[in-house]
Order: sequence, then structure tokens, then C-alpha cells
Amino acid sequence: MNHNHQPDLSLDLRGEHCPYNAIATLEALADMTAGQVLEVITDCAQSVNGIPEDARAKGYDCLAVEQHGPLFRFLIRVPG
Amino acid sequence: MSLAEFRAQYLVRFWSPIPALLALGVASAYYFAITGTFWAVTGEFTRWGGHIAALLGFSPQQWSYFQLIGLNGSPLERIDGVMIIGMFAGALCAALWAGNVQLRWPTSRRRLAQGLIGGIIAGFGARLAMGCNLAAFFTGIPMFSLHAWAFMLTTVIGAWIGVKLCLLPFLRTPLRLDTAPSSLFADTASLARRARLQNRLGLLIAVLVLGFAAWRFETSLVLGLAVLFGVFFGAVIERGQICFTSAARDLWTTGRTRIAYGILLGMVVACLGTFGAIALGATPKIFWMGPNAALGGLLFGIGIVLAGGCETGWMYRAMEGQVHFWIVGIGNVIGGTLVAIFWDELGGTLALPYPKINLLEYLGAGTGLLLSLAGLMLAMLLVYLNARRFAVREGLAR
Repeated sequence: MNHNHQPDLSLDLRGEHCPYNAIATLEALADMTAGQVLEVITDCAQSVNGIPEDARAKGYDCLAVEQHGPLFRFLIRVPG
Repeated sequence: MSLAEFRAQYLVRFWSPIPALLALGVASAYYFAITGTFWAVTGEFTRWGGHIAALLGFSPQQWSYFQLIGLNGSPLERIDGVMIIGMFAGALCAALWAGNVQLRWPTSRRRLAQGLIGGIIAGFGARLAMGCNLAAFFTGIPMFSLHAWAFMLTTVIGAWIGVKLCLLPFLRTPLRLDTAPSSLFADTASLARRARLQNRLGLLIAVLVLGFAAWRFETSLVLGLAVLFGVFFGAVIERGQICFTSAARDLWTTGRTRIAYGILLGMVVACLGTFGAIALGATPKIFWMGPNAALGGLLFGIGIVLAGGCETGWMYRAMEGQVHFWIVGIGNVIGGTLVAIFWDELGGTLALPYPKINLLEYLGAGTGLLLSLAGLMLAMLLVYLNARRFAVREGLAR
């Protein structure tokens, strides 16, 4: 399940529900530079539908969506 | 395929929401044809409020709202009641088999208060309009009751207001950013142990709910079937993470489309099924096309976005151990019960004087069906056009 991409930043969203986790992810990505990778951790399963769809719609690359029991991990890269 | 592969593929990995919603649309039409009522939850939650009021020494049997929706027997003797027990069991079982059950605590008291207030507003709005995202929407439009269209429209408007409220600075929490990767996933042995334990607990819940269904089958075939339908509904909404709130809210936040398309397509297939059942003699549930439907939808839209989930949404999330959504559920029961308490004033002015419009009778059966389907197609087109507002232009990422 582990991915080779080493994240530059890690965003911990445990305990947050929708829409905050998707919005916080996009806000964190907006402050990053081209080529950087963001790791996002949530414990709300719905984010598996939301975060990748929103990130892709905004032009980011969603590299990985992982399920680890009750935790969900996303790796998203700023293109460039 | 080994058992571990099967588990990873079907029990852990979430299902795609569009096929899940199509299946829910088909099953909800069967449910109506078999039980004579639609898939609905808030009416029963309001009855639970009525039972609590009775325990506190009130006489809810005499309240006009309960004369309208009935308060006979216990939840174990009502179709809605046993279906909801099945839904909770189905969602819990699905969450356990996915290893996705854990007590998750909210980030702040402010969020909890937000959940309670949102839950109350959503419960109040839903009961004012005689249904929530199900009875006044997903299973209301396939009853061909005009009020469900008003509810759907105003829910989307209410969701816009809800989004504005949710993004107020005092409801935002600071981002927890770190430059080191998370260390939460290091302990794979304990994750595997948890998964094994949850597998066994899931099996236990499955056996218990089948026993419960068998016991209800002894009373009547309809009650037993209602349990099984509930298990199916609950398991599928958990597996597909079917969030009606997201469909309405994320039209305004990020322009998401997938769940909205799924819900609308689910209603298309449900309409075909319920149309057949009605043609064979089933009686559709039609409610007043009054200000109550529009106002109820508006409040419901605001409430679900504030709370982070609607009635079906909080049910499966509560089973996953998300404490926030236990509070939302309590809020829903309070909100619904408030409508029951003040129904004489509310219903007398906002609902009862207005006609119940059955589109199949008002327009003729064929035209009513075709216009309903055309309306759902139009809604899909609007969802598509709305999403284009958010699209980034090619080559201009972000």
C-alpha cells in the first residue's frame, strides 16, 4: 500500500467532516509550488469520493488513495 | 480469488456511487410495491421523539401530528421501525467488514454545537415538508407528488445558504500542517489485529440481524421483508458512501457531479418501478403542495450542510463511530419532535389548506411520468452546466 512519492507537506484532517476536509485540502495545495506533493490524512470515509474528484477537477494530480482501516491517506501533486 | 483478495476488492474498497444509487432506486421501488409505504426514516425518528415525550408524561397520541402519521405500537411492530433497525445493522456490518469502525471525536466543541443545531434545523425542515432526503426527494419524486419537486429545489437553495454559513471564519479550524509524513500508518500489525476483530464482530451483527428478521417474519411477511430491505439500504449507503448532502452542497463548494448524477439516475429507475406498482394498484403517498414543502426544503438544505450530513448520511456515519453524527441524529429527533409539538399552528397555516397534487392524476399517467423523467434529465443538465463554472481551463491548472 505504501507509495514511493515522498510528501513535502502532511495535512492532518482527522475529526473534520465534509465539506471542510475537501476545502482545507484545496487551500493547502494553493500555497504549494509546482512539483510538490501533499499528504492528506482523514478519518471520514466520504472524503474518498470527494477529495480525489475535487483535486482532479482543479487540475492537481491525485497520485494515491489509500485505506488503512478507519484512516484514509491521499497523495496529491501540484503539476508543473 | 483468495478470501483476502475478495475482502480487499468488495468489502474494504468502497463501491462506485452511481451503480449503488441505481441499485437503491430499484430496491426502493420494490420496497414501495411490497410494503405499500416508501423508504423513509424521519417520520419514524419523530415517533421515537413521541415515545420519549410519552415517557416524560405527555400524551403524544393526542397530538394532531401523530394522528396524521400514526403512533401505534412500538418500533418493533412498525414497518418503518424494523426497516431502520435493519438499516443500522446493515451499515454497521458493512463498516465492520471494511475495518472502518472507530470512535472518531470531533475537533472542537464548536463543531459539536454546529452538528446539534444543524441536526435540529434539518429535522424540523424535513418533518415540516413530511419527509427528508428520502420521502420528500429520493423516494418522494417517484411517488409523483409535486411537493417533492418543490422540496428538491429549495433544498439546493438552502444548501447554498448553508455553505455561506459553514465557511464563516469562526467555523473554520486552522490547518494542521507538518513537513514530516504522518507516522500513523507505521503499526501495520495492530491494524491487521483490528481488522480481524472487526471481521468477527461483523459476522456477529449479521447473524443477529438475520435472527431479528426471522423473528419479524413470524409476525408478518411484510415486517420480515422490511428488515431485509433495511439491511440492504444500510449496507449499500455505507459501501457507496452515499451522501445526499454532498450532492446538494458541493454544487456550491467545488462543483462535484458524480453523486448528484447518481441520485437523479436512481430516481429515474425508481420512477419506472413505482409507476408500474401504482398501475397495478398501489396507492402513492402524496402530500400538500404548500409553503411547508418549500420552507421545509430550505431549512433542510441549511441544516444538512451545517450538520455535515442528512438523515441517511448521519445514520451510516454514526455506525462508523463518528461521534459528531450521533449528535446530529439526536438533533434530528429533537427537530422532528418540535414540528409534532407545534403542528396545529404550522400545519394549519402552511400545509393543510393546500392541495395534494398527484402528477399522474393531474397531468394524466403517461404525461406525468414523461414530465417527471424530463425534469430529472433537466436537473442532470443543470448539474453539468453548474460544474463548468468550476472547471479549470486546459493549460491553466488551478
